[in-house]
Amino acid sequence: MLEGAFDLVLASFLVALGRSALQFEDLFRAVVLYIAYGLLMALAWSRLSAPDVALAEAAIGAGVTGALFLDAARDLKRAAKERKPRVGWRFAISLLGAVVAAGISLALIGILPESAESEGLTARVGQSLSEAGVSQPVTAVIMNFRSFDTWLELLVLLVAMSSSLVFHRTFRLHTLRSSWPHSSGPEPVLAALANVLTPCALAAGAYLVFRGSSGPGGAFQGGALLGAAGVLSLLRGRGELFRLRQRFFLSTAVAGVVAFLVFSLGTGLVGRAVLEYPPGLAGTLLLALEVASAVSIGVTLSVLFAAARPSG
Amino acid sequence: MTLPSDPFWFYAVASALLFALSLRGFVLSPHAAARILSLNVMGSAIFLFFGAVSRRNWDRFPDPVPQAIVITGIVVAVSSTAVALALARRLASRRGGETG
Repeated sequence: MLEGAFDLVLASFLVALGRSALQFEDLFRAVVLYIAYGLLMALAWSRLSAPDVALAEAAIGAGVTGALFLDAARDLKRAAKERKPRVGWRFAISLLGAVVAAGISLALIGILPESAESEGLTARVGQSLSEAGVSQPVTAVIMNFRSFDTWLELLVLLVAMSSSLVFHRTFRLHTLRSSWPHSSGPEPVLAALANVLTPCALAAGAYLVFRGSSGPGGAFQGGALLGAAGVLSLLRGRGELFRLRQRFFLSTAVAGVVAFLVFSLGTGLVGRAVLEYPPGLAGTLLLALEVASAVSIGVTLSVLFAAARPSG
Repeated sequence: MTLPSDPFWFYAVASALLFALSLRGFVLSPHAAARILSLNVMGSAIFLFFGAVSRRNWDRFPDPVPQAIVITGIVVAVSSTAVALALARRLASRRGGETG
């Protein structure tokens, strides 16, 4: 009874916060509320027994997306041309939204109880978990049973990174210093915070990657924290992480896709099915693929943040 | 057995409401950033529905497959958001400060 009451309150707050975040009169306020909404969503994921997703939502959904929006809000708010539809249209659209919500809810009530009787793939995952090389089922699904999807997802990240770089005229990883309003560089509080948080984020990210084999965590959650370390380092203005040559740094973003490619070629050559783990080495190979994926995710997220800024 | 009182129902209905709200927000958005924000809320609402589905048997283990799908979805969503924002900003600077 108490359990259900908490979920009811949480779900109601989620809807209310989402509604507030969608008030676009003040874009900055909307973005901040969206970040809060993402964090509350992470709490909802924890209630739904999905700690991996909660970590990913907090780090990527609220964190990286929020950072991207806050960065863009400055430029886009100045440039916005107000285009408010007439009151009649607004009412009609709201009515349409209400109808959509009612329709979806009715469909849920009709479909979900029937589909609930089917176990889905949970039983299959449970049976195959002992040969998967990890003991965490979500990590096993991502990196083993559905590893092809993960490979393509890393490719999507790479495509997004390339597209962002194309829109940027002169891409330099160190350009952030020129965009500060004061010429003296970043604010001291931000600098001090970044000094402390960057190594913490790096350590926590590395830990999460290895933790994913036996508990919540994994390549994406750890990679998101590594990306956060990169973003903090960029905001710090000194680009300490990027003392490496820019080309070398960018080329490490392909590490995940290339690792999967090598793995698939290897399994194909050895005679097994493509992407099928050999039984004894499953755990080690999976971990190697996770490390490569985490590195490329971290680099890609940092570059996505840096490349979204205007050039010059 | 799925009871009407299982908590995952609250999240399923919340996801429907959030989807409708973000759809309304998307249609009525005054500018590009608002549209991208609405799409993000829409995406997270759909992910929440997946989460509710993964927990449809409240007394048994959660279904890991929808959770894995959602993690993939979150990463793809952030990629598209980054590209969309980069495009919007480049467009804004090209048009000399006007975005529609």
